[in-house]
Amino acid sequence: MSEKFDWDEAVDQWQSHEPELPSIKRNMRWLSWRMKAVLALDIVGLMVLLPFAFFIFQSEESTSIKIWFSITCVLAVVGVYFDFYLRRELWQQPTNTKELLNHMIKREKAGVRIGQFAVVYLGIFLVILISWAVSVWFLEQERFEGEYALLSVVCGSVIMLVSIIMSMVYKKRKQKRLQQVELELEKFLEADK
Amino acid sequence: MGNQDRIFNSAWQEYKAAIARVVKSYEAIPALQEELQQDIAFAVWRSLPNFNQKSSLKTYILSIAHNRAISHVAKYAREGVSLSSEDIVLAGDNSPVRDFETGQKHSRLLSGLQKLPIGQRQILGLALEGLSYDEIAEALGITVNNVGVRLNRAKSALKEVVEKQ
Repeated sequence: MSEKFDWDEAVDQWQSHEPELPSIKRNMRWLSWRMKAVLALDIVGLMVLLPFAFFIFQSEESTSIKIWFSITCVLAVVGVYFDFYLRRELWQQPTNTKELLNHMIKREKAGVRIGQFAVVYLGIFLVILISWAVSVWFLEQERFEGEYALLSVVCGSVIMLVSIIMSMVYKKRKQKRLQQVELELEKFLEADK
Repeated sequence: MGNQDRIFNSAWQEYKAAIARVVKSYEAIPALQEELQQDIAFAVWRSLPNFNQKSSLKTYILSIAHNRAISHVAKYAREGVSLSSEDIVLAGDNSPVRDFETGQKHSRLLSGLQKLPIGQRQILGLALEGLSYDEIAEALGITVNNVGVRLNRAKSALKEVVEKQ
């Protein structure tokens, strides 16, 4: 390339240059496995929960514990279903840029929905936990006589509250990203005008 | 070694220089270059079994590489990581291009590319790799006529920034 820019010379320059980058890490199978493992973990969690629920129902635990466990199981099934449902279209890899930008928009929209879902889901969970604790407080007060009983309910509620706040922040971040990607797609499509 | 690994190894050997050029044209920070290269390698590894031979393997791999690079830039630009083009000199780059003047010219070209918007950088990157209008149209998902329009505008923009340096 001389002081004046010449396209053909630039093409030669470009193609003759072989930059060196560090060797790639040979962990393709591990990365692929990790992607699947994250969702498999949901299923495993559920599988562990169900026999445990069966055990609780067979035991002589009080009705309040059985009710609490039933609700937990239903919410866990709903949670896993939504985890798969919201990610159902995100597995394919787009083949061109237009598809990629549309895919990124889909992904950010899924993120917003996941954030929204998490807020509602955890909110319901928190309300149920508190209602359950209040009802047990009045009906089976001896349950709260244990050293850590009240503490565990308070800790559970605080963890859920923090998770709800984190989900709200996540949703907001995803909404911001969605706007940015939509703008990028708009710019990409406008380049022909 | 499985069939997928064998196909990947042979494709990677053949196109690693082109992929390295894509990486360098989108990312200036060495640590992030490594991450982007790894992302591209994984995306290529996953996608190769789906290669349907409608386009050339080169077009297919470059499309994947550019798409990964766009996602990468979108991710890091949002997270506020600087992609400074000030660092884009050939420092630490043990390329076969040893001649100082040639190295300087390449630096100017790369630095010029980095100053352009992503859309122009992408179309120029594909054209500089020698892809035809048809192949570029396929990689971007636009018509061949639009490739002509976009590429001419991008070439003019590149000429302007390179000559200003």
